[in-house]
Amino acid sequence: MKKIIYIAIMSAVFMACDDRLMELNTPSKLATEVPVSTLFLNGMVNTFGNMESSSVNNNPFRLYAQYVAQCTYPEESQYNLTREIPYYFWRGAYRDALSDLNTAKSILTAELEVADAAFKPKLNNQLACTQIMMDYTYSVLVDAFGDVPYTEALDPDNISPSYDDAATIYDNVLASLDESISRIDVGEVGFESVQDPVYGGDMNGWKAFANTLKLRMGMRLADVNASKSISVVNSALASGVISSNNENVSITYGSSSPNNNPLYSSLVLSGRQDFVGANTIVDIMNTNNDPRRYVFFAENLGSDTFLGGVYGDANAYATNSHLGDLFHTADLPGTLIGYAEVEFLMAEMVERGGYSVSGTAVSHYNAGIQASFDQWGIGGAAAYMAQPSVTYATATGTWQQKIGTQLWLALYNQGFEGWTTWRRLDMNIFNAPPILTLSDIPVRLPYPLREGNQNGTNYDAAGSKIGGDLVSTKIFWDKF
Amino acid sequence: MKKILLFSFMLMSALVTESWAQERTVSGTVTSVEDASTMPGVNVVLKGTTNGTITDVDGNYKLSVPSEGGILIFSFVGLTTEEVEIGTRSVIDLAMTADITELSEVVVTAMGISRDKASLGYSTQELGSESVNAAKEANIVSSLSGKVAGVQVKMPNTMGGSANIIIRGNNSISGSNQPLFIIDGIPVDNTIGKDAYQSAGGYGYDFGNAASDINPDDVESINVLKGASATALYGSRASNGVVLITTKKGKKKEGLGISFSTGMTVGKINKDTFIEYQHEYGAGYGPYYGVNDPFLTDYIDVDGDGNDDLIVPTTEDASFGGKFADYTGQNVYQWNSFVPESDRYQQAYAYEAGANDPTTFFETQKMYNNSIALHGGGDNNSFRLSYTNFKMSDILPNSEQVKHTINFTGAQKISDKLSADVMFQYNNNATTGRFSTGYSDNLMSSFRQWWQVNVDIKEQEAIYQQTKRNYTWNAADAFDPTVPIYWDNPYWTRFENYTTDGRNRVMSAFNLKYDFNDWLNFKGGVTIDSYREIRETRRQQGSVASGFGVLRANETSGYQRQELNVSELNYNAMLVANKNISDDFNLAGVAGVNIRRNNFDSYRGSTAGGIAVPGVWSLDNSVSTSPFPVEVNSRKEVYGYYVNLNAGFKNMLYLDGSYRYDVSSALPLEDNAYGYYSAALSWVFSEVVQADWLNFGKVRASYGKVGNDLGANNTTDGYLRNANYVNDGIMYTLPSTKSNKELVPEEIISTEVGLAMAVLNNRINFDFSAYKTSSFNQLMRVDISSATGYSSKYVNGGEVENKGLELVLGGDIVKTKDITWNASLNWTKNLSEVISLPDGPDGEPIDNYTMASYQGGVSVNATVGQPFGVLKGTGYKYLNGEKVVNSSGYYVAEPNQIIGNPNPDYIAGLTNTVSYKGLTLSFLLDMQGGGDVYSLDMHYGQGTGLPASTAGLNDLGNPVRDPVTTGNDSGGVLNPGVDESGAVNTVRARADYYGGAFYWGNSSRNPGQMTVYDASYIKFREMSLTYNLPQNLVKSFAQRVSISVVGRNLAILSKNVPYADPESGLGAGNAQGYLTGSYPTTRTLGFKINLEF
Repeated sequence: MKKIIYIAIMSAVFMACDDRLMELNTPSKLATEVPVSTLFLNGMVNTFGNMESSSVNNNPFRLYAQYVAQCTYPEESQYNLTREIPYYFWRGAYRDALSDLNTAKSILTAELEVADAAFKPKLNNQLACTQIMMDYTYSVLVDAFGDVPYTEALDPDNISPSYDDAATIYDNVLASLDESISRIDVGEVGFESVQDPVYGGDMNGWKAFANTLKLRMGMRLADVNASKSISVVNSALASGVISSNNENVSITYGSSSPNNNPLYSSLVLSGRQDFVGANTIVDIMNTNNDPRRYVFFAENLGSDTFLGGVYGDANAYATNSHLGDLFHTADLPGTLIGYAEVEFLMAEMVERGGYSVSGTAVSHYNAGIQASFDQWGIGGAAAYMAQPSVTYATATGTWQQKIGTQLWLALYNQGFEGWTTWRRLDMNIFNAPPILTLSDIPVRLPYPLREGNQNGTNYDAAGSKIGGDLVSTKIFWDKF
Repeated sequence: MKKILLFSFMLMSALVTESWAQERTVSGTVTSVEDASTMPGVNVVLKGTTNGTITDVDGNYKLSVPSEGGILIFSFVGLTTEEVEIGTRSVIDLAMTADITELSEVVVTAMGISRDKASLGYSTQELGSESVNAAKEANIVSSLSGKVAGVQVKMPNTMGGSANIIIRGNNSISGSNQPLFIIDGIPVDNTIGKDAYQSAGGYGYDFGNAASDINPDDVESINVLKGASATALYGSRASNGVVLITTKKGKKKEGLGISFSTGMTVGKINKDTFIEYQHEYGAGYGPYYGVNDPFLTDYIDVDGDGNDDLIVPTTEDASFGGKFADYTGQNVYQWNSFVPESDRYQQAYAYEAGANDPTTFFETQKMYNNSIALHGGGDNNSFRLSYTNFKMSDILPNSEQVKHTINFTGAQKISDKLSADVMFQYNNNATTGRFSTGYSDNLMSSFRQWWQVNVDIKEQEAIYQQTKRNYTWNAADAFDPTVPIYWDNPYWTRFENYTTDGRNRVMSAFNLKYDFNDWLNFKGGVTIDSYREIRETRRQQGSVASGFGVLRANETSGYQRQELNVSELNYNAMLVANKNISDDFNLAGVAGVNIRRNNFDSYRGSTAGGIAVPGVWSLDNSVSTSPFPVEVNSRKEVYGYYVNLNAGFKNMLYLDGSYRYDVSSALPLEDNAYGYYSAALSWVFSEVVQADWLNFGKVRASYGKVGNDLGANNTTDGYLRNANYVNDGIMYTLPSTKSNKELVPEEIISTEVGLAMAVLNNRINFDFSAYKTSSFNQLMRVDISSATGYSSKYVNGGEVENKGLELVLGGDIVKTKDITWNASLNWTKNLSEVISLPDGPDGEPIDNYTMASYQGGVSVNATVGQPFGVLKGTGYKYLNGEKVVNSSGYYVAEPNQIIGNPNPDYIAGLTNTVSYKGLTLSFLLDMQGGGDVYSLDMHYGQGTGLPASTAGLNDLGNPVRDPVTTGNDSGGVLNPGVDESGAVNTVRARADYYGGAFYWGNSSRNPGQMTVYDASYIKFREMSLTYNLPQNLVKSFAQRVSISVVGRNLAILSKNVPYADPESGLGAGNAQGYLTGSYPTTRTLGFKINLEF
């Protein structure tokens, strides 16, 4: 009997050996090392997803840009941040996009150190792609929130990352873009085609993306730091920005879930009836007889009849124009930066002066409109432009009003950039929701409330530094 | 000491005296051998009958007996039962002797070790089988409610849903707080069948808690071990207390014993726990639909007569629409006006409140329970074999649960020294139509939050039954009522989108015992608990889009199948010693080894993009390529070594000590072994303090440390695979929770003191405990700034404290020969406080940890300095103690306020048992004082104008939904409070649309706190009236026959939560105090017949 006890005890001791315990506690169904391209693709898809979404939980920007109005539940269009919208947008950027990209970056950086010279150009290209996607997301975070965690971000060992100054982040992102541009070898591929649904591994595209992002960011700086704006923009132009719709920063979406365009999820898959065209854009397009109406909106009220719902109010779905059929298509590509924007920014450069840009404001303005029509596959741009209300010379308002309005129209389906264009150029075209005034329209997203709990000291410091964590606190580049 | 026990069991002696063939009487006096004192309360029964009596206060008895023969049985707990031939005698006096083996009240403690209750230095509370069996609950956990001090139980009201059980407060912020269930030495898996979405208040089902497989019919006794000192031998899994269940065993008897019981109960919803609708206003959110009639669609000519017609806005799931009274004489096209199969097809009809509101949706609950047990035993063996069949159909249509349980226990003496015993239980459960819970896709959230009161739900039923199509009241387009916008036809939901699940389970133990001598033995054995479970969820083609399946994309149909394989294997070996060193000194001890192996395996697959062919429930019936399944495998082994010593001196002073050392595979390898211990002291002071009034007295004190181990796979990261991108692009992502290689187990230290006394001839006894439990190293999945790239991270640290008082008070209020009335109260007060939370890496301690965030902007939090699990959200703004109202008459909201504390101030249960001859009435009042709940049902339900409280008249006597004016004809709500300047509010808030006074609030007005309610209740929880049939009626065919009338949840005598049961939450889990889509409580009443042969 004692022997049995002895054996029982000894076998227990024996079985508790380290290797066995270690193996038991290793997740057997999860990979511990993965190809870097799989992280890159995931980060990229999530970057687009965060921007293309029209879920009222994380992306209210089609509303803020007044492209669409809401039906029964107008809270978000009234700038009520229900359901922690800032948090989900913030988390979508940091946790869902930047985290995977940053891990890919770390792996690539480590690989580069030990790689054979022959493999370095490709690894450099992959690193550049990864870094450019990250730079894009940081630019959006700054444009949305102002100061955000940057240097201390993406480190789970530091759960209280401090917030960096917005303008400094801009400088760093611009420097990072320069580094990526110099890293790119257009003679080599980047990621394999299937892992890069934006450019299919073509580094020319990535180079244009990086330069165009520089261009966009540079123009944001125009009102606050004209000389920096000019130098950044000029260097981007010299290196080569997007020059046709073929080079748009656009992702291919699939025809079925989960790879459909996120808008399709909200408009079709949800089965809901939350959105109609907003009177803000429909009225302007009606005034200008804009042929893009036939794509942007549906003729559910009868042919050639377009009526926008009152922005910021509750609207009946049945009695207002729905979004167009194209936006009810699963594989509608998603665009972060398009060619039309480049042309309108060039028109702006001419108006502002000092930039190494050829052509006139008119020529770029017209090219921007043409690019927009082309992007949506619509003819009749010339006739549209010939109308006095559109023609650059005769359209009403300042150059900001003219260029801004047409850029804003071209940015339909890029809600964040549409709203940002209004913040930047202050076109007098928006409507105030009932009982609110135009000054109630947010010019910034407040920090996620959860940051107050999770990163309180830094959150408080950041709020006070930028002049209050308010929707009315302007981003550093938003001088007017 | 001996006498004490004699008195304390007097209640058990109520038996029937019945007259038949009374030819003579026999009488006598019973005395004690020990001191010759007379013995009241002794049972005197004629053998083989229930003809009997008890001795009176002077020890005298008198009993009618047949003219010839007969044997009298004299029995009393603590005394040796004696059988005396009557012969021809008419007077029989008897001196009874103490039964040493029964004298001490033996209880089963940790590791199955039997101990004299007097020797324990900590509190335990034991329940007999009747406590879970008299008025049976489907889930054994629920039947503990109100019966044990220190134990809080919350029932879910969903069929087979998980019951939340907490012993002495919540110790762990993120880990489980459910106790360990052990049945006959077999640790029983109690996995809570809820996924993260369900727990977060989203769409999902509560598949119950696995401990519900324990069959109440097989339970002999339940012993609840509460504090660390009682549970220390379980080491790293002992932190939340242990519920030790002992099953019924065969006993030595002549011939085969057969017990049979059958019961049936029927249940109806308690309407106090369901919404009461307003009947004045119809569909809509406000006045913005038609051209001339703002509440109805009025610009379409339906019948082609050239005039536009009125149509109900079917898209709107709210009742802030037109006033029915305004449409008298006007006909309106409604949802079924466009259903070709309907009698209403192409007809407009009166616009009024539906004749049948959703109250009529609920069906009668029916529960059937049949059980048969065979038992027997001889000198060397015993067995009991039982089969129980349980079947219920619940309050929702198409809901059914069937459980089969086979239980076998057997013991065999192999030789003088060697014996073996076995326990085997097999369960087979099948459930159809689980109740959806949470916010979305739950019919209760439709009925309580999103509904049109103009809909007659019976018409929805009729059209579904007639057509089997999804003709819904809530069509996206009134002219095509087969396409829902938010809600399906509720009958479609129940009959087409139903779940099925089934579990096959084996719990088994094999034990050998070898006696070396009369004081030392060895016990060794194996226990297994293993089950396989399949859960299937369905959405029929044409349902409303809802997040479904592995991808959780919005889909209008789909099929998901999940399989679980869960097992726990334990190898046990221990030496048990018990020796009287001298006459005064006893030493008992245990030393053992335990090896535990847990394996959890799950596979979840689903269709994507919908199902290709309606009604085919198969993974290959997918429109798109089926997504990658979700596989989870976690394995864990724990190696435990333990020792326990108990020294007793003069049956008066006891010292007990335990130590356990656990090596766990779930901990970081470098630091994976921890020791746990306890010490307890008890002093039976009544052995030295002699007083007439004092029958028994004991003081005790104990101290212990136990652990709460990690789950597997918390210390290593892995990448998660996502669905392939277009053209098979491969995607991996980091998990959202960062693991931590430096984790330690949670550590629970508890101190307890107690006093147990029996006084006044044992008429009153009580057991009082005071405890303090501190839980350190809280393992928390802390939500961290997602700027870190993760949204949460595992960390250790911080402290939660629970302090409490427990009182068990029992007494015989009436004790006469014929009538006894015993009352037993248990009362618990627990105060919890989050003392600290882990430090951040910058040294700044975290002051708040969000345990769960819910719809409505409400979260459940661990906040430093606050009780466990406080509710946060937007609160009222106060000025000089008055609520601030804004210039439009709405309450101003302040963000991030503590708006409720879900912890009760106290809980209590009062059981009364009244016996009169063969009749026994027992009833339980179960109560909770204080505690808060947040109701999302009221938050949205008021906003959509459903409950009666949103209509009717205001303080001026005008319809509250009339426009606000400055005159006496004003509608609207006058919110008591002050304006920003402190002046009393005089502005009425408009209540004529959903955005008004009942609006669900935003960051600036109508705070979430408006729908926080006090969760106090007093419930008439349980009732049973049992009649033991007179022996002369049954003796020809049975030994004992009893008939019971039983009822549960008969009434809520007091509550403050409107239209809901304060207990109805989202099932088990740490985040409590949040009501959404609450199910009503079911009152049940039924009968039960027990037969013993």
